[in-house]
Amino acid sequence: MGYVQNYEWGTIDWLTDQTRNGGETLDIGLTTIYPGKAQERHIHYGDEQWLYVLSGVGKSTINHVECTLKSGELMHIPAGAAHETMNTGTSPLVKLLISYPKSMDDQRETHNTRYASSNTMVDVSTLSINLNDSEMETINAYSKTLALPINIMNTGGEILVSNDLYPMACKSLCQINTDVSNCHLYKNKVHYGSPAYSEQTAHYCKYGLAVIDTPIVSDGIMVGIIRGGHILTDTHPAKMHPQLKQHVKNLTNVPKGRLRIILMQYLKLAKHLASHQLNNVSSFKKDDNQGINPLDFQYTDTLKEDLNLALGKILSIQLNNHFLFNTLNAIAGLALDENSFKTYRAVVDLSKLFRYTLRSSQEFVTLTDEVEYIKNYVDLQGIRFGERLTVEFNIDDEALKHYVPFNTLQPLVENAFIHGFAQKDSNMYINISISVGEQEIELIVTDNGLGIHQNQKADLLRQIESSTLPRRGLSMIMDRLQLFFGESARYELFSLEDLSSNQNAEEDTPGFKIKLSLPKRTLKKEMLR
Amino acid sequence: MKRIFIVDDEVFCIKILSKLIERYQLPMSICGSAISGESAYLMIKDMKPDIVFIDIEMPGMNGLQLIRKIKETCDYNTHFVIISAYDNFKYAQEAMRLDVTDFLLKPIDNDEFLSMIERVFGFRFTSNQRFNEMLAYMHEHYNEEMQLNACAEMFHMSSNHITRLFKQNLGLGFTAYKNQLRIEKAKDHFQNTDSSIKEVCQEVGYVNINYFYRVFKEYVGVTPKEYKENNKKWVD
Repeated sequence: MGYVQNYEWGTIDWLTDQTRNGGETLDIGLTTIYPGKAQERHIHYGDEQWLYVLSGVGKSTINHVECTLKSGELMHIPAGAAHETMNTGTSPLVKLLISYPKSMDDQRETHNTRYASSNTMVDVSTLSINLNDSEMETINAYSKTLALPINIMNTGGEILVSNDLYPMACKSLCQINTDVSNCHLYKNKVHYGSPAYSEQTAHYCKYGLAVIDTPIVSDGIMVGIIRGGHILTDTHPAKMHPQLKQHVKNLTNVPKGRLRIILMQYLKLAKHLASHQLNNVSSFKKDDNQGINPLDFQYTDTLKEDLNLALGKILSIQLNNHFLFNTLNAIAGLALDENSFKTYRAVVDLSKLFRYTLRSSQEFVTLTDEVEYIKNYVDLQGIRFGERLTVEFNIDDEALKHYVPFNTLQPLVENAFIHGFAQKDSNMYINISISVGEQEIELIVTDNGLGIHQNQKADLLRQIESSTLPRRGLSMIMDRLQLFFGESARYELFSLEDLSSNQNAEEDTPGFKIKLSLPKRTLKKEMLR
Repeated sequence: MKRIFIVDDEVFCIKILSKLIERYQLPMSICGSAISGESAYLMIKDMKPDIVFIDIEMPGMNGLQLIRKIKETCDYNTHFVIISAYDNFKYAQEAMRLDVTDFLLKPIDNDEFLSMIERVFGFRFTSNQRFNEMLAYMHEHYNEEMQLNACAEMFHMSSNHITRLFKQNLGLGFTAYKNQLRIEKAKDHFQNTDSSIKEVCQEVGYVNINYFYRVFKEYVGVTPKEYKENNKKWVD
């Protein structure tokens, strides 16, 4: 016997798994439906199935077409077809199930890797995924665009995260918001695992709403499920469940085209979550020397998708650039017309800031450009804080011709405003020094803000050095520098204790100081690591 | 007084330019403006302004096409300055090919505007109108005998006042400014002509060749001979 899934209506006994026959794409199982029970209407989006009835009698509906089942009957269920089967006899209805993955599009590419790592017996222990801040952000983003329920579950069917966006119908008919197991589709905590249903599936509840399950497959192993949907799919009002009719105003009756988009969105989210898992374990993945890992491709693909998404966004920004800068030009003109030179300068500074950050194709820029950008930035901050803010520059002209990664300096200075001056209402002082040594460029940003104590510094260092903690602020800057320069980019943070023990006579009160040392680079294009 | 012309389908650049001219008391006046390439063409041909500011994106003939048409059909060359919301590489490239004087981005930055003016006229304008006139005179007559006292008399200012204005606005004295001007011209000559050192020395207004050697070394860091050998662009 293979791996058995138990349901309230019967069982599916998967005969194939990799240890037995090394099969790659076909799944074979035995489906048993208990007498008087029915396997609810559901859809496999990625698989086409053949069912061969071995024993028993029943009734099956495939895409609203009814047929009777008896021993020897063969049925074909196209991918994406809604089907349900009912045992109308007194003995179990047993069918041979052959499931063949049919690509909806390029989503299939992960299929061959899904057994990759399970070279022992099929593992039925509950697997789960790690959810940290960046994953939560991704989930929130999808939640906003989808506006449909998103439940991230482990393979044991337990919900780890939910956005609780259930439709009114589910809340009032089944009180899903008091307990999800009030919904009969959630009640049965099926253990999900390879090889069963590693494709997207939809199950219909007794009221006719489709609940969509999307597996999260990382490194060939299903590590979780996204359960969502709760939608009406192209349902004729006449065929609608009577109790559902009162909620029909608040329900989206999703036509086929949009359903496809919804399915794609869930798939994308699953891919994102899967690639985040890979990301988090990538540090030890580097050790195995098994040549090219097919998963790297999967990860690369997700990255490419992200990149295309970002490019799309940038393009749309660029399309609007003309409008933006012409408008800023108009505001600048009006400001001068009203004899407000300060407002005019602020608009010019802001435009320059925009232009600089919109430069998308530049990885490396001269320090001249970076310094000009930071001057625009502190000028704008100067408008907010007026005379309370003093910014000093000590810049070695020799350093200016060197290249650094785009936007290296600004986050360091912004740090002072976000953290250092968070609760400061008196004089704010920032010093930006750039000097050039034998082999390195040294960037030092000092402020007289709150500063950090020795223990906070330790926390900060831990965050920067960690490969699993969420990346933000300083750790993100360091990640980028490391990407460009590897180990030759160095940094040093100074706590209040560090600074007071080594205090300069000129500096009034110590705050925070950060020092970056980057390799000298006088050419824009050099071989990157 | 330099006459400038503005071609833009919006009024804001005219506003900004006229306010900046007023603010920095530049010896310039807006002699006309147009909102389309077609009407601008006729007016520019007729008025022959000293500087033409042109937006690229306009209905009908665009700014670059207008510049090309003027260059091709009018026997007249002037300083063209592009003002555009786009910092598009293709535009910049084409503008360079058309030999425009400058490419300013919207909204026009006062500092960039001033440096552009400096490039067009060869010197930085100050807020003192009489001083500007004197600078213009110096740039025109740099190779003639020129003394502080004579200039003071010509422009009705005291020598002390002129020296103060130099220090305030340009950070250096009358003689230093004059030398700097002449040495820059000498560098030009060395790069683009085959004139001898003696010829260049006289060309830029120095009588004493030893003094020219000393001043050149002081400003450039190398002797005129070394400079001439290493920077010659001129070929037979």
